[in-house]
Order: sequence, then structure tokens, then C-alpha cells
Amino acid sequence: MYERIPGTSPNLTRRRFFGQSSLALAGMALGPKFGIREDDVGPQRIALPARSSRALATFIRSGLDPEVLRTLATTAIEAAVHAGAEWADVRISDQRMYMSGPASGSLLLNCGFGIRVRVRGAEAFAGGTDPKPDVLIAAAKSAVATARGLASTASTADTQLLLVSVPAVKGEWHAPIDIDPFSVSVDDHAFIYKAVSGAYDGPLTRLSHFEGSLIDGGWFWSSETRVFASSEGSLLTQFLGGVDSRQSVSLMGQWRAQHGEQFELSVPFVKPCTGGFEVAVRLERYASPQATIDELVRYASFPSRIMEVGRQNVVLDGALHAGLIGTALLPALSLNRALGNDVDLAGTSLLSPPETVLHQRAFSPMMNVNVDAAAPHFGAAAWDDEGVARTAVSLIAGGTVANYLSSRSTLASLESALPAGHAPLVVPGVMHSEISSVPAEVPQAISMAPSAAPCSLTALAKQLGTGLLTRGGRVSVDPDGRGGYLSPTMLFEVRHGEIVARIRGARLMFSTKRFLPTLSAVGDVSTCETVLNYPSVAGVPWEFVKQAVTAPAGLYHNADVVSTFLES
Amino acid sequence: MESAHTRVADFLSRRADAADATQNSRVHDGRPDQDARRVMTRAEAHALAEFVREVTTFPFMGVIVDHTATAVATQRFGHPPKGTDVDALRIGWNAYLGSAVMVDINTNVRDPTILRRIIQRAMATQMPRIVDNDDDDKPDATDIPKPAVYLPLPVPLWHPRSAVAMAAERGSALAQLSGPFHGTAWRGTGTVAVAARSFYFLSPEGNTTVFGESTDCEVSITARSVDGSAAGWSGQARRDWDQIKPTDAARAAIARAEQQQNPSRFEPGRYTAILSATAVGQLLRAMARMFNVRWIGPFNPPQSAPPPELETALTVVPADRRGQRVFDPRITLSSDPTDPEGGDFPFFYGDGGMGTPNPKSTWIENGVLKLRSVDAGDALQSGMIARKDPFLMRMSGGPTSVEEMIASCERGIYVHRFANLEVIDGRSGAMSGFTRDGCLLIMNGKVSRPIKDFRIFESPFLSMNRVLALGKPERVAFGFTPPNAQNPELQWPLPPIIAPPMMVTDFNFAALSDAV
Repeated sequence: MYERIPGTSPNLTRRRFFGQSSLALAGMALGPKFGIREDDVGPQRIALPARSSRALATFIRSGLDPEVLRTLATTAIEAAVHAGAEWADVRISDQRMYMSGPASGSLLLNCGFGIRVRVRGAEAFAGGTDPKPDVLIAAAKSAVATARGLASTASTADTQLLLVSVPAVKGEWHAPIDIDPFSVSVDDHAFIYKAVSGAYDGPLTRLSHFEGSLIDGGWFWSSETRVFASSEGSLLTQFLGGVDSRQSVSLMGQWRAQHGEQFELSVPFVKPCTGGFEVAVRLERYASPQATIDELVRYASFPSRIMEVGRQNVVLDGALHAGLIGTALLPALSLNRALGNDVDLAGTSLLSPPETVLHQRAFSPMMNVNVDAAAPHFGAAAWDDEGVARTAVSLIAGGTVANYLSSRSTLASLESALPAGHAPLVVPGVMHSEISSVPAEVPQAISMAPSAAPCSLTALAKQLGTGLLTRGGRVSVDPDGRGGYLSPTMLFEVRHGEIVARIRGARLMFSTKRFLPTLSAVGDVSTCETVLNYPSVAGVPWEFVKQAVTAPAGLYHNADVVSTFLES
Repeated sequence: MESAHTRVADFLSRRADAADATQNSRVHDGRPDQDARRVMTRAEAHALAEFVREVTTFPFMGVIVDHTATAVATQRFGHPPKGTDVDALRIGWNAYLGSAVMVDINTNVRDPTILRRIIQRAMATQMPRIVDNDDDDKPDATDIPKPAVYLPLPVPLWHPRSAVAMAAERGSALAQLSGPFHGTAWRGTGTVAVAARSFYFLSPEGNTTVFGESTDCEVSITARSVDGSAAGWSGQARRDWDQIKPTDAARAAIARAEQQQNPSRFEPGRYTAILSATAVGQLLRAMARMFNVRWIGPFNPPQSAPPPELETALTVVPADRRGQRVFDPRITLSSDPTDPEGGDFPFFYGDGGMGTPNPKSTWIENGVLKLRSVDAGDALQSGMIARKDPFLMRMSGGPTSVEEMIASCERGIYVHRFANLEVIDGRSGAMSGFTRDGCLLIMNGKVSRPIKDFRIFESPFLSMNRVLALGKPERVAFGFTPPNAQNPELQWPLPPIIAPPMMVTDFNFAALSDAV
């Protein structure tokens, strides 16, 4: 039996500085006056008892006072400017997370900060997990020293501070949460969890020719106070919160052991969203276990065969389609990549150069992809992690590249490359950072619009006629996002609009530029699925951020079927 | 106890002074910063570990103080550079009480008062569970073998110049990388990264210690044409910053890019492949996990049963092909922590590492499978000797240079590096991926023309049986591409890989790729 006990989060990747506090600069005493209890600051993981009538919040310290966080943020900015920064911004977060699962749950407290500074055009970042005044001040000073050092020796043709101007804002925002999940007791969390997961017990037990199991990856509740401040005068406080879960149902059978076939459908108890415990108690929203299992049994009943390599039309279910959008399309829309800043790191973008691609049709007119900013979408907030107001942003409108995922600095670079008189560019407000990480062009919720007219997965198969249909799976692409593979969890042959066989030992190869424009039909909202994408961002060390991508099923043409069997 | 407090306080004060000194002095080439060290010394780590040991009042396996610092700078030439500094400290201890419950703390809190509270809280909340779950029939903490005492590392892994470079030389290195691009039509993007690490283990009795410290450096540079149709990459990886030559790397990248101008398409298929040392190193890294005794794959007979679940004890070692020839007889693969070029800590460290000795291991000798890697926990259960998965690896070479390989090739493809290698089939070791930055078509002993990238679908376990020639091994750089979803933890810095260029027949260039 392996248990993790109170200590800290294993995510120990940020710099911590123990410089002497700058009393003269801050002009105030430190430590207790800020209301931070020294024994409670820093990442901690706390195992909970299996049963308790106490609320989750009683097992942990109270959240850090937002006023304290605001003071810390302004202190950090002042320290950076005093040290010589021409510009600075800082994010300070106090986060709590509750992970419940088939075993006992645990609480994770995490707090941290990240400060960016610019000196003579060079930028430096420092972050930490200990937002105490002396630590923040030392981090600010050190970041300025790093930036100054880079600016003095690295050749830079352009040392101007290029940032798209945005108004300085002061404000506060609360995520719309009815029931704070941390005010709910351990027993109540467990009760709801068992009610939902237990609904699968009966149907799984009643399976006659298979063994079935619920693969339970846990249920994650989060609550966060995030403060942003900048040298331009912004000071923002946001109270964020959300939930996501990872579950799937899997069938086992003899042929699985022989052929390695998988029969698994994703059935997350809740879709990633902004909200509180009220999301969990709406039992009528949960998927029907029996319907899911019946669907899997139906899939397993088809004969299995190996398909010849060749070119086929394919219906991607919502899950794999969302994976395609998240893995192949979204990185291409990163302006940082499209400008070539990441050539030596993550890669480039097929949507380059941006000054010629913007506002041009690049994809099927049926493709409409948006950034979702408002609740109940996952990661909802009023401002992004650069202090820019968040709104819904159209990325792809009728197949046309309407916007890139950009920051204030990358958009400024793009503006300088556009001809005079161009339509004004608006900062999309999509920057996001994990605690104590560099902000990146990674919005937390993206969706592709479904068809307004009725069009189920079955209807799409009928439109397909002859081809392939996928359920679940994952996508991998080359570093430039120009092509890759779709590896469905389940792949089916369709003839005359009906599934006739399972296909094993195959996956689909695609060229992004040629494949995405072939989208000829889109499913309705009943086909929509949300997957959690984990793009890696920031670079060296790479951080994985959580991103919810929603897409309907889609009918594509000319996917290349390739074998996964290796001829020796 | 008081001396431990004093030592810790001294360290904190020293760090503060260093931070101030860093802020006040400045970064010019050739001006060493004597106070540049960013990770704990042995004495500082010992003080902290000793403090934890004194506070802990029940049996435990040992205290770990694992400290890593990285300093990275990136720049698209002609644009502002960016720096990111990261400091990661892990103070951990594992305790088995009875056999049922392992207690594991991970923290980065260095303040003695707070650390004491964390430990005491852990003991108070978990002690009842440990006592309730005690099982007299299972091995106790005293049965777990402790690591031996180590002498100083036989090869120097710490280089003071690298520590100085962390503080003072990233900017100048970027300037050296960009220099060769002036006056050319090529666009360049470069990355400079330096890491330092110290690892300390202290036994519960306080009389057994393990300590290691290391530095590592890597520069990476990509040259691309304005239209993005041609690219070239070069990298250098060394532990000693003095051996890093950024200008040479930049010139090599430009030369590669110049070779790749105006690439044409070439029919996919199976061809003789000349793989650079970098490409071979990438294959070796992707293969490393498959050496583990739990991996049922190419080193096991066909129709082997699936391995036991990770949580299940490895009391029966699956049958494998040890003693059989699995690769070309010219291939020897080994991991030697004392390797002057490719050494590493001679013990388990990092996530789960408790200082267990990691001996020199010859995995493949003249093509014959000799050893499998075994995690420390599995070694205890199975009676095998613990050996880390061979991410530290040296592959034997041969006398043939790349130029000689080309000259001997009637028709083949030169591959400089791969991208996105992922294991598709664990049993056969089949991998898919892409070539990157273009390839060169070899015809009649000469470079004929640049050709576009391919998707590859191959098993290195098969291609290492179709070897035509091997070259001189060298330490390879991997660059800084994101880790893939299969192996999210595989990112720089990782132990060195020393690999030769290699020429093999019938390498599967499965399809064309649009990537550049």
C-alpha cells in the first residue's frame, strides 16, 4: 500500500529565492503582518480519511487573503521597476484542488507566482512556489539581472518594447459557483461519487460474454484565487473554480488478448467546466451506463479483420475530432510558432507567414472554431494572464483564419509586418499560465461549432456510405503540425452506411493541409465530445497545461490507412 | 540540532548574498563569478538531511535532498532574447513501517521551523494507519538493503565553468550563435541551456551517505530559409562549458541548411539509411525503457505472457533472450557511470531514487543480450541486481566515417535527425516518427540532392540487425523539443548518450511528410 502524506506537491519546478527582504523598498513589515502563516505556505498534499462529516475546507488552511496577494503583487512590480525593469507583470495564485477517486481522496494546496520583466528588449522570467515578500522581491531582482545580462551581450536588432497597448484595469471577478466544493463534506463527496460510479456496477456485472470494467481516473475539483498586476497599473483579482473527470468503460475478451484490440469508450462523469458542486448533484445529467455498455457490446459483436492499406473517407467521432483540432490545428494557430519564435523548440506552423495567412480561407467552410471565455466553459475568467479582457474569439470562421492565438508581444510583431491601413488587430486574451509558469498562448477552452441541423453519428455514417468510422483515440503530429497519425481506439468499416466490421492493426495518416479542408459534414450537438488536451508549453522545462477541446463528429475524405504491423 | 539549524541558516544567507551579488555584478564574457553555484553543496545538503533525520522519530529508509537548477536562454536572432531560470528542490524520505504502508514526503521547504512542522504533522496523521496495517509476516524496514558508502565520484561530473556559465554566459553564447548569421539570408533561432544538480542521501543511522553533483550544458540552433523550405539544425552537449563552441554549432546548422535548399520529393520505401550520431542517439533513447525486465517485447520470446501489473511484486522474472544474439555482432551497448565522456551518478536518483547503487552494465555485448534493467524495488523482490534503465548509454562504434559510408552507398538516404519518435508496438519495438530538417539522397557514392522529410515506421531492434557500417561514437545533443505524451518526463537534462553514426539496410521510409 502506498500513501503520500502531507508534504508538498511533486511539481517542484520553480525558482525560490532567499534574498534579504527590501524593507526600504516595500516600506512595510513582512511575515505575520501579511497574514501568511509560515507553516502553511507552499505546495502541500494532504491525504484525507475515507470517512468524515467535516467539510474539505476544515482539513486545510484558509485561502490566502486576496488583499495580501494584491499587496504582494504590487510589491513585486515595485521591486522589479526599482531594479531597472522597463516593464513587468506578475501573477500570484493560491490554488486548492480536491482529487476524489476509487480510493480515498486527497487535497492539494498549491501557491506560486511568476514574474516577467523586460530590460532593453530582453525578457526574463522567474517563478516560485513561495509567495512571501522577500522571495518575490528577490525573484524580481534576479529576473531583472538576467534580462539585463541577456540584453548586454545577446545581439538584438530591435530593442524596442513591442507590446500591443491595452488599458490598465483594476477589478475583481468571481466564477459563478453555487456550491463551493470545499464546503462539502468528505462523506457527501464520496456519496455522490459512489452513486455515479456505482451505477455502472449492475450493468457491468450483467455482461455475459465479456468482462467489463470502469476505468476511473478520478474527479478533480479546483478553486483558485489569482491576482495579476503590471507596471502599467493593472491590478486584477479573480476567483476561479472548475471541475473535470476522467473515466472510461472498457470491455475485455479473448480477442483482446490475442489481437490487442481495445474496446473502450470515454464516459467522464462530468465534462470539464467552470462550476461548483452543483454540477455533481444534477444526477439527470449523467450518461446512462447501460447505454454505454450496450454500445460497446454492439461494437464488439462485429467481426474483426485487417484492412488493406489505401485511401478511405472517414467519420471521426467527436472525441477523435477534438483530438485532431487540439493537436494539429491549435498549435498551428499559435502566433509564437507562426512567427518562427519556436523553431528551435516546439516547432513551426503550417499557417505561416501569418501576415499572408490571416483572413484567408485555409480550411473547409464547415469549420468554425472558437475560444470559449465565459462560464460554464472550462477555465472561464474575466481577464487572461496578461490582464487582457477575455471574450469569445473566433479562430476559424467558415474555414478562414480569423485570429491567431497571440500575446501582446506576438501580436505587436504581427502588426509591424502588416501593411499600413490594415484592419486593427485585437488582442484575443488567450494567455494562460499554470501556477508559477510562463504565460503561453494556450486558452483553456476551445470548441468547434456543431451542425445546427440534426445530424447524429448514425446519420453521418449514412452520408459516408462506404469508408471508416472511428471511436476514441489519439492524434500525433510532426513538430510543424503538417501531418501525423490518427490512432483510433476503435476503428470500423462502414458499407452502405452501416458498420460491418471492426478493423484491427490500422491507423490513419494525414497531411494537415490536405486533410482538414476535406471536411464535408459536421454532426449535431449530440455528437459533441470534450477531451482534455495537454499541450506542452513554455519550453525547457516543458509544462503540460490542461485544455478542454470540444468538437462534433466530422466527415472527412481521403485519409490514408496504414498498417501498424511491422514487416520484418 | 543547533548545528543543523546554523548550517541551514548559513546556506540561506549565502544564497541571499549570491542573489545580491548576481544582481549587482554583471554578465560579461571571461568574468567568472566565483559565487555562481546554484545548488546545494554536500555540506549544505547534509545539514538539511541531518535535520530531517533528527526530527523523524520512527524508522525510515533515508533522507533525500535532490536539487536541480536550470538556466535557459532562447532567441530568434534579431529579436529580443528570453531567459527562464528554474530551481527545483526535493527533500524526501520514505519509511516502511511493517510492510503495508510506505510514507513518502516531498517538499521544497527549507525553513527548519516549517520543515519540522511538516514532518511532525505527517507523523501525527499517519502513525495510526501505519500501526493498524502492520503485518508481522512481511519484511520489515530493517530488511531493505541500504546503499553502500561511496568514495568521491571517479569521474568529474561537476565543472565550475558550467556553474559560472549559468550565471554569466548565456547572453554571450547567444551572441556567438547569431554571429555566423550576420550577412546571410538565413534566419536563426538558438537555445542555450545549463543545468546543475546535487543529490544527497543520508541513511537513518546517519552513517551512510551518498552524494553526487553534476553540471550539463547544451546549445541548439536551427537555421531556416526565409520561405521555410529549407532548414538545418546543430547541437552540442557537454558537461563542461569550456567544450561548448557555439560558433561551430551555428556554422554547422547553416551548412546543413545550405545542403537542404530546394528539396524534392523522393519515393517512399525501404532504403539503405545513413543515420547521423544524433539520429542513432534518438533511437537509443526511445529504446531505453524496453531494456527493463518488466517490458515484454523484443528481448522476450514470442508469445510471452503479459508482464505483471506494476503494483504486483516481481517475484518471477519473465523469460527473455539473455544469452542470445539480438543485434549485429559489432554492437555493444553499455552504461558506465565512470565513462569519462558519458558518465553519471553511480546510483539511483531522481523520482523514486534512494541512492541504491547503479553498477556499470553491459546490456548488449557483441550483439548478445547480457543484462536487463531492474528497478530498485523489483530487485529486492526478485533477487536481481538493481540497474537503472539505460538512459545513460554508450554504443560501440566502428572505423567508418560518414563520408566513407556515403562513398560506399549505391542508393540510400542520409538522415540527420528524427522527430516525434513513439513506440507503436511494444512487442516488436516498432516505432513511428518523422525525419526532420530534410534528408539527403545518396546515389552512386555521392550526395545527389536534398529530399523532403519522411514518416518512418521501423523497429530499431530489427534495423540493428542490418548494420553495414558504424562510425566513431560521440556525445549527442538532442535539442529541446517537447517531450511526447508517451514519455512526458523525458526532457532535458537527461544522462548522456554516446552514439556512432550508423549505416543500415532496408530502413522503412514509410511515407512522405510535409514537415521541414
